[in-house]
Amino acid sequence: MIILGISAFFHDSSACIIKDGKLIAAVEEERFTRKKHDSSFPINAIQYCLKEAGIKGKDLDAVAFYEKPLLKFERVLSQFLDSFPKGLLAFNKTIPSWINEKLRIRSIIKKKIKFYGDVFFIEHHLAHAASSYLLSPYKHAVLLTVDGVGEWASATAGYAKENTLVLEKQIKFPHSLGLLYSTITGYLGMSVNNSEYKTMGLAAYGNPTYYDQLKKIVDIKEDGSFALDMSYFVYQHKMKMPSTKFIQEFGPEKRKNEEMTQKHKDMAASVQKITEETLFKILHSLHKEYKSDNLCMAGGVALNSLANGKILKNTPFKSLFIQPAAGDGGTSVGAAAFTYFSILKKKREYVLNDAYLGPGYTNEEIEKFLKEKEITYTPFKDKKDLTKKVAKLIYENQVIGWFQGRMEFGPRALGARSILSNPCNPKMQEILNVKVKHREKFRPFAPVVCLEDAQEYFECDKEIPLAADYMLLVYPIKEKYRKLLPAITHIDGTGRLQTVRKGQNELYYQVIKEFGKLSNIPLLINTSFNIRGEPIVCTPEDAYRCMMGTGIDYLVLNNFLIKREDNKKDMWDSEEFADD
Amino acid sequence: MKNTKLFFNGIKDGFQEPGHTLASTVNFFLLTLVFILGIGIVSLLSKIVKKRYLPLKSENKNSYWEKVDIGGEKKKEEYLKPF
Repeated sequence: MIILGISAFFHDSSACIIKDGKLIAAVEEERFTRKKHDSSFPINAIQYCLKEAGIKGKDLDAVAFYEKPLLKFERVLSQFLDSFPKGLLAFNKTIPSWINEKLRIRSIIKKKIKFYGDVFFIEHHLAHAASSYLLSPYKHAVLLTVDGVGEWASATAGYAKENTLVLEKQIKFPHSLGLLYSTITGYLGMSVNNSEYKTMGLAAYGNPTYYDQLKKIVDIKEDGSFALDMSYFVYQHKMKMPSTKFIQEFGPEKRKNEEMTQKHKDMAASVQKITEETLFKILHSLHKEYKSDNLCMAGGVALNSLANGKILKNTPFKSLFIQPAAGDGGTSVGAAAFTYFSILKKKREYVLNDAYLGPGYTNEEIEKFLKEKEITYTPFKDKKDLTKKVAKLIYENQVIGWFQGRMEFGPRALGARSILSNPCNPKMQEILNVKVKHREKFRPFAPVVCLEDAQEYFECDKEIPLAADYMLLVYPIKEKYRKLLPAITHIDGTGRLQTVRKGQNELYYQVIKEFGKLSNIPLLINTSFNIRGEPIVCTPEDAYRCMMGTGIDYLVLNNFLIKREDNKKDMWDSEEFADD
Repeated sequence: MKNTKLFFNGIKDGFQEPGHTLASTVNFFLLTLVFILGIGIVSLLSKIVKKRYLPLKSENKNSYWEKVDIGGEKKKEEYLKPF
């Protein structure tokens, strides 16, 4: 039985295929169209998934869509009805896409993929919850989903047992923890629904001095449920977030190119503190209510790795699972998994082992590309030689574009489309930020470490959650290593680590180990293989173009090593194209 | 034949941009009309009977969680509905 999952027309469109109970492919549309957070119908992602399954659209058994569009439309109309006469511009901007796309899901699926069978519509937060629980190793768990907004809910909670998921309560729009975080992100001059992770990185530089002031606009109850004072927000009827009252109270919004001041950093720290406090209160109350030690989280707020890393220490839960695409991109997987396991009641044996669910390329395909483009390269027959060579280059402070196997699903590069470099070099953070990524200097870089070495360098939980494989947890770096690892130690002494298990990504694992032999520290910097504002690279051509436009010194395409200096004819400067 | 095709394609391409502008303008006026007549009238009537569509003002209660029944053992047909 083959189910296609689709998420589309909001942000981070994606598609996935579940074949006989196993997730065999999942990918975001942005990787093909090269438009970050692309919200269009994911036709390229669908075509890739169908190709991976070796079928055509008509051969599918069912399609699962990640939300109930009419329920969402009801909420959108309610927003306009409630705020009339305000909201005319937002109405004019929003309604055409509802008429042309969002209310015509079935006919679009028929037209674009020639599928005429059952289309299942799974509630947005149920798709979130399913994307976590049904890929987890648990037989029972507490479910918590928190994001901006789905149909009506901005947060839901419930429980799961075997194949059954039940969401019993919700926080209803416009009250939303995700949108509060987005409001502060927008207020700090960064893009909403895109740069929330930058606010999280910025928080470490500040003190939560605005906590009390912000707390006045968020009423948090003992059980963690919350309500916002909506006089401080206008997102319910405008295409912007904070209201005039918010600006009057907290001062003017930061402009995009304005210098980041201590006040901005303090605002970020304050909203982070409120987010953590709310989450921990909710989790305490849910643990008491549902009496399971396993927690499955999803939704955009579940990508807040700073909060995630503190969950097991600050709540009674003993085990935590978050899948790599915890934001809206992952809802296609949740919709398909819920359809297969819960609606069609199929046996559940599958556990997500890694995030390598996207397109991959054979050595033959890559060599053909290299020859066609007349690129100078060195082939490696022995993979051990390749890993030794790459480790040596990293040790010599070279920046490596690492392109291996199938692309990762989700927003983080996890060793398939990564940039790797030396974490011990004090200048590496600046080199990467300025020459390669063209991004803000305050932003930290993440470390990757083999699972068995993680406890040595980080103050991790005793049993490191699987979510650490997907770079979703921030932990303090042990005091004695902070000075030895300047490039990955954030200002507050933490690092957002990725753990790699043996057998999960063999070459990647070996490079880390080989680097450890040279430096005595088996850790690397792992950052996403892209330029700021671009999606992560997908094809060998994207990777080569990215290397030639940045300060990446070498590119590893499967078994081939390419030196930037050897291919001067293709050099270009990507800096002017770097966007938010 | 080829030249004729090219000629008509050229005309088609040339008209594309003003066509889009015209369509956007017409859409804007039609949608504004719908907004004023549709949303406006219903909204005014709702205000008269004091019906609110969004819970903008939060009452001070013990918990803001609202009970829902999402998921569970529902029939397959429930999930075939887009509402």
